[in-house]
Amino acid sequence: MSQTLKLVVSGIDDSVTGIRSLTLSALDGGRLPPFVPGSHLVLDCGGRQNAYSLTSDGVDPFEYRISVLNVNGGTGGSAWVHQCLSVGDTTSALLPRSAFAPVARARKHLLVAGGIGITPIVSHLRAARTWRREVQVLYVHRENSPAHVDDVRELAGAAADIVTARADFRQRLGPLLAGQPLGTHLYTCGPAGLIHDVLAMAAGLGWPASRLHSERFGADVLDPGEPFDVVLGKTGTRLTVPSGTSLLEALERHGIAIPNLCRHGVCGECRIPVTGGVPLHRDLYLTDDEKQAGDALMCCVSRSNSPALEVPL
Amino acid sequence: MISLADTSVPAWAVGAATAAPPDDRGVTYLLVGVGAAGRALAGSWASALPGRSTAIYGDDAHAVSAAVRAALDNASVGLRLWLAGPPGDCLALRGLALTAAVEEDELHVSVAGTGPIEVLCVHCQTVTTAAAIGDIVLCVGCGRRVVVYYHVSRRSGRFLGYMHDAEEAGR
Amino acid sequence: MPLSTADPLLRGFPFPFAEDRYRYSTNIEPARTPVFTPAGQWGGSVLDIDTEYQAELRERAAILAADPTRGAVLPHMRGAAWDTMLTLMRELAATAPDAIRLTREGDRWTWENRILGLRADFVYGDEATLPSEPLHYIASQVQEDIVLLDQRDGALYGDAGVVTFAADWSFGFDVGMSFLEIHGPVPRIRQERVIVRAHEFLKRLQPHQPYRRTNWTMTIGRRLDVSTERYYEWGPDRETIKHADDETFGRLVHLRVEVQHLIRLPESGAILFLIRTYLLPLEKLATVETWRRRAAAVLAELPADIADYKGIIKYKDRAASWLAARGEGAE
Repeated sequence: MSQTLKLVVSGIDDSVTGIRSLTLSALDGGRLPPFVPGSHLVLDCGGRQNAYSLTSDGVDPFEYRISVLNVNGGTGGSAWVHQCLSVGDTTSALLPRSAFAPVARARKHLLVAGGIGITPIVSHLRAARTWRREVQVLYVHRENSPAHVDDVRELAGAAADIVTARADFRQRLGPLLAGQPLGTHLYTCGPAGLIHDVLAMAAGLGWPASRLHSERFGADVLDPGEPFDVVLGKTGTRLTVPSGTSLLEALERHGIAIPNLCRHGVCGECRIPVTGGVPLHRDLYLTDDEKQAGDALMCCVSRSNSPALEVPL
Repeated sequence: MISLADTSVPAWAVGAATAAPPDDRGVTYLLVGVGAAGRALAGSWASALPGRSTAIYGDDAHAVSAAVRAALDNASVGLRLWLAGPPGDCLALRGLALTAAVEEDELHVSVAGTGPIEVLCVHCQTVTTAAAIGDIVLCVGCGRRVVVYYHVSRRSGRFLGYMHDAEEAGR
Repeated sequence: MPLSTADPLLRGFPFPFAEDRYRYSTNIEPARTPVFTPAGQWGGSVLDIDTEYQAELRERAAILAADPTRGAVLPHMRGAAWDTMLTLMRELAATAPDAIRLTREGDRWTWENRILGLRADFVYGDEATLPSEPLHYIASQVQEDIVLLDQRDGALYGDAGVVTFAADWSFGFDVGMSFLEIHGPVPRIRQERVIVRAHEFLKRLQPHQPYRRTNWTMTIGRRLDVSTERYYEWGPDRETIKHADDETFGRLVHLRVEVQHLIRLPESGAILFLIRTYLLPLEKLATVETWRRRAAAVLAELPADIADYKGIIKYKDRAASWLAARGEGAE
């Protein structure tokens, strides 16, 4: 069911330290599938599948642009992009997937980003310009890594507040969240800690859940997690999933084949049902309702909040 | 025969038990009390939220609409809107709120008191008042006998009305 | 390969019954899969332009002129309306490449529909460069009814559309309602389950993978617009048909089939719901033997509550026997 795109690297931009921006075109030079703002591309990075937000325009595109942060200690996908890729090289990707779309009904879009989390925000800002939507941006980046600063300034102008010190970011966040007109929706993207702080502050200032949208980054460097057990419903066998091993890996080592593709929690292929225990969701695929229902999980990244999970396998 | 869960009519609009307001974390509250019972209920909410609420009172939804709209235009995120009044007025005010960009988890409705509901005749687009769902009323616009159907518009709070005896004209 | 019949209404007719009995089901399948029938074929493309193209578009224009409430685009659906227009322009151009073309040069798009003698040079997103609002503009060039659903907070809302050929519902009233609200009230649990499953499916739809399903009922007279708004016009026919002689009955009673396409719009993320309506009178249906026999069986067996929900309770038994009788020693 998943279709793949054959792409060629038509441009590389290394002007920002630690971040490589790629321009990708169709191998046949033709049109690429349009995409919803905030969408990500699951790219084949030398055999590993990594998800990167598209930063270019999604209407009738002839190119896709992504920005890849060089992650130390990751699974190597970003290292491959930084070290092994040249203009003219070919690779493949899944069709763009939308998981962080702007809310059409929003009267105003408040965009808060940290570091490489700015990438889906750039996509939102492009659409906001096309549709003349009201925006406001707060962006914190490392001083030596001003990713997409030019884009943000060009697209948001005076509505963008860009800082490099965490203290400045924290100081501006409160007043920013406290004074938004009813109808505003908040979108935040960046490291898990930043997202957590932003959402916690927003909730404390009375923001209801329906107005809060986030996309967690750093999906290629997930913490190894606590060990837990999994009980296989068909045989009653109890397996231990150690820290650093995913549930998918544990099941595969036991001889159970699970359909999978990206192995990063974005594509949805490795979804398995859960009949007991409380899942710890760490994916970017399931909806909030689905996560709350607790009857399925993405076994490539998600783990358990209870000592054991039960699966009908 | 008709399962209410399958209709567009909220449970509170057909006499289901009135829910207490949610124990939630708004920063400011806009409290609207329509009719005597609604006023009393909204007033009790106001006393439980000292310094954090504004109250608007009136005899029916039309009387308070302009003030509610103005308050919402000037509101910030962190607001909660709580409505107290008869079902028809609450439906109309819910419609006003949702079209003014209020989200469902910022809105609470408690039914208090009784009152008329509005039906929109889909043949001539005129609004007539009625007492209850299932009633047959004379449309003030086209004179047809329309039935107040179990179908309510989210945006206006009005019920769908269609000619009850259209097929009889074929006899 | 079955022989195509000369009658264009038969050739492209999407006969809806796969078995001799009918029950509600979610019956969703991938789009663009051609279906070969004893009379011809249908389903190879998302949009269908047939011999009724100009007549139905004129009918739509007349309905909208008399009642503009049949079309609405809530303000936040502007982007989805443009996305729909572009998507349907691409589909039309692919369906009729000799007469319809869409090209782009930088910011400028050029649209030519030589069947209708239309041309537009527009800038995407700029209303001033189109003769009318984009959803209405493209609705005037396709026979399909259009509904756009905005997905937010785990639900779908019918926040835009142009629907002139509704089968006993009112789009103008329903604008802004959720998918589940629009489909209520349903008299039976089985219908509710089908609707809930369709809802769950729609929420998971991905772009570039269109799906479709069919729905059916019956209409008296070759009448596309049987909306609730005009119920006082077509409702009485359900009574008067009881007094029609056999020849008139077969001429007036139509099998009405909707081919619905379900598409996730690629740039706005909204869901596009297309409804294409086909009407075939029983007298023509009866000329295709397998259709005649199957439709007779389905109608005879159809439970009363389903017939009632479909609005055909007053004449479906007669339709069943009318069709059955045409096979016994006829011709």
